[in-house]
Amino acid sequence: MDFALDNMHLAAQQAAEKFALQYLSPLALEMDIADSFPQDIWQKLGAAHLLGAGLPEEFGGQGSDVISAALIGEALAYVSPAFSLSYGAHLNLCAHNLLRNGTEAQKKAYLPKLASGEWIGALAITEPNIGSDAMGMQCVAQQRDDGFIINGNKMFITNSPVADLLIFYAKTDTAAGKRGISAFLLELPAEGFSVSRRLDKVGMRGSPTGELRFDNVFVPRQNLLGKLNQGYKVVMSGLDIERAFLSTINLAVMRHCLEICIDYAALRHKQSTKPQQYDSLIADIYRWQRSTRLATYRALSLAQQQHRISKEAALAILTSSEKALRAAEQTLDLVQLMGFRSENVAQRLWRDAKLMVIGAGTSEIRRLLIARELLGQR
Amino acid sequence: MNTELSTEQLLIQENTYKWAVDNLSVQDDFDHCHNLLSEQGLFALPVSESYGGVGADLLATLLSIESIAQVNPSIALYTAMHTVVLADLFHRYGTDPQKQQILPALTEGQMLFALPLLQSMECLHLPVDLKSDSQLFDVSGQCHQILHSEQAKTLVLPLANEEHHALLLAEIGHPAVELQPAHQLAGMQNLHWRHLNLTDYVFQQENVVNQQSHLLLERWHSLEALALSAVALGIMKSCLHHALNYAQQREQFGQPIANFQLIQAKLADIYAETELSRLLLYQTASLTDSEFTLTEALTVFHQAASAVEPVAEQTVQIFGGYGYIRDFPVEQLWRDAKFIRLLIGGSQQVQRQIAEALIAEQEGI
Repeated sequence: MDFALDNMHLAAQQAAEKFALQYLSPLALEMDIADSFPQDIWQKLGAAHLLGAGLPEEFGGQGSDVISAALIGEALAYVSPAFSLSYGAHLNLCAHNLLRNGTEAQKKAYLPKLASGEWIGALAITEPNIGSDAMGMQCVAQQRDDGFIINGNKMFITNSPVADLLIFYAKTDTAAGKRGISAFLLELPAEGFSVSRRLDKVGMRGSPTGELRFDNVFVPRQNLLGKLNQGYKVVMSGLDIERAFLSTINLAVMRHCLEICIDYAALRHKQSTKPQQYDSLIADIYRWQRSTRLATYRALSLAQQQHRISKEAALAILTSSEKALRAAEQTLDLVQLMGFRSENVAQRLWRDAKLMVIGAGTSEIRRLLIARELLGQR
Repeated sequence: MNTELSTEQLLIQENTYKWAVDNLSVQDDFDHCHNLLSEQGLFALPVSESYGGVGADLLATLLSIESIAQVNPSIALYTAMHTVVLADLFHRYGTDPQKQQILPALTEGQMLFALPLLQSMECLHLPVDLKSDSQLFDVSGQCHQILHSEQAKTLVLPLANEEHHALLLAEIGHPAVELQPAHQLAGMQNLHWRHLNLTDYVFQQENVVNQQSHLLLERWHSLEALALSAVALGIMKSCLHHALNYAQQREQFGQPIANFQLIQAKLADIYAETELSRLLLYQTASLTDSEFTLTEALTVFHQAASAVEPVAEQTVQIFGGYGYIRDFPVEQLWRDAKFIRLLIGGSQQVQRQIAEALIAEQEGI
């Protein structure tokens, strides 16, 4: 057993850390306060070859693996969890999904633009009335000879207000339940498609989130992603790896919290006023961060080897998100009202961390997923 | 990155578990269990082949402890103090004659020791009255909370002062050693736990292991932390096993209680905390040449000891009334878990050590 990162992983991690400190760090506060997405930084991220991790070189990628991609996400999240969320939605939810399920023509057409940062990608599953029960989606794709006509709504879609390419799911056979779902690619802007609302979130500000409206949107047949009525497999395999991938945001939040607590304790230590509860908090965050990091890297590593990772990915994100939120809550308790000021990172981490126990399946759904795996009820 | 156990490690884990299920029982008396463990060769695992052992790596030895703990945590704990802690210390710090005398006997299971847990606060302040010159240690004092079995012939005392870090080996039948009656414990029932009095016990040179390295006690502390974590992990795995079985068998409202989401959430939590503890223990024990720091080892223990009590408690909860009676093993697991938890409990010693190490690292001390 060896969890050490190899040279390829370390190179990706170091490049991303350098990028985050140089370009992202000066903007993180403004992104949060103004809820603004830094388009120019996105282009720079592409130019620095950090948007092509896990994509083959023939499609403009770096030829590295999903672990490298997730490590880049972790490094970005240390400075801005919101930016990392947009990165994850673009690269893992959209580009990696397209790589796994797309035709050669689809991959050639879109992956180079996603890898270079010229385009921004997004993925849409959730709907206004369909959250945890994703397979009950109501968005409908009606078949025509040359393609599909889409009607419906999507909700809470990361990157959608700025996206150029959207992967979305819709019912192609409304009587077939989860076996009647298909996946599609949509170039934006498109006639009949609109971002009906840009959502004003409590945290992860700067990562734009939208509600989408499809009003007789035409999708040509060649933009069907995967096979007709087999979108269920695309959704489920995608959700597993998405959970493992996004867990890295939580690892970064915990690392940041730990550093805040240690700095604060060191200061109080010098003044000989360090209360005992600092020790418990520091020791707790340290063990949470170390143990959930192993769970996250294990899920990613198994995914890389093409294993099914439903239980492992649910474990990674359930534990990392709940512990990151606790770490952020208690770090804020430690720093007290100083940390509650808008310019203090402690309160931002606390607001950002809350999304991670909700998005990509709530903690409650993640527990049910794990239990059903344990009970062989999948 | 390789996140899984090797084939050899899996074999040791599976075979020991199967053997323990077939042969060990919580009700068996201590000496009976010990004899079975010796016959099975479990004491030989960590000892190098030149002393007749198997020469297994640290993780493999911990896996054997975890597997024994799934059936009988107290036997696992006492065994672990020999195979995980003492075998390593004698290998590292013993003189050749000491190794010749001790390691083959340890391999055969013929040499059992009485010893304290460093993790227990009482033992950190062993009230030994030390009169020493360069050759002899003359010790008088009371040693609290010593783990002991009827077959143990030698007492191991850790000694730490400004000049010496050493293990002192005392003969238990010696008139200068007075055994007090064993305490009954609420959990870990097979452990014998008692006080010893030493009156002017003179340790000859050959009975003192290492007088120089200040790393000896730190090494003991680290290995003990991993050993206790392996026992905690065994308890948690046993809890998960029993909880999953019972939840699928027990029917209420016309269906297995495993169908209820509140029960499913508990199962997920039991699995999650077990898995985090497992990964942290295995990863740390796998580090090359066991080059983990005391802080890393204590972090493993902090995780495992913090997780084991809620895991056992939730398991009892899934069993309801049947979890509270001795028909099922889960009440025993709950009591055993509390023992582990108490080792880091009120003192916050472990948390303080971890935090202070991290703060010192930050300050560049």
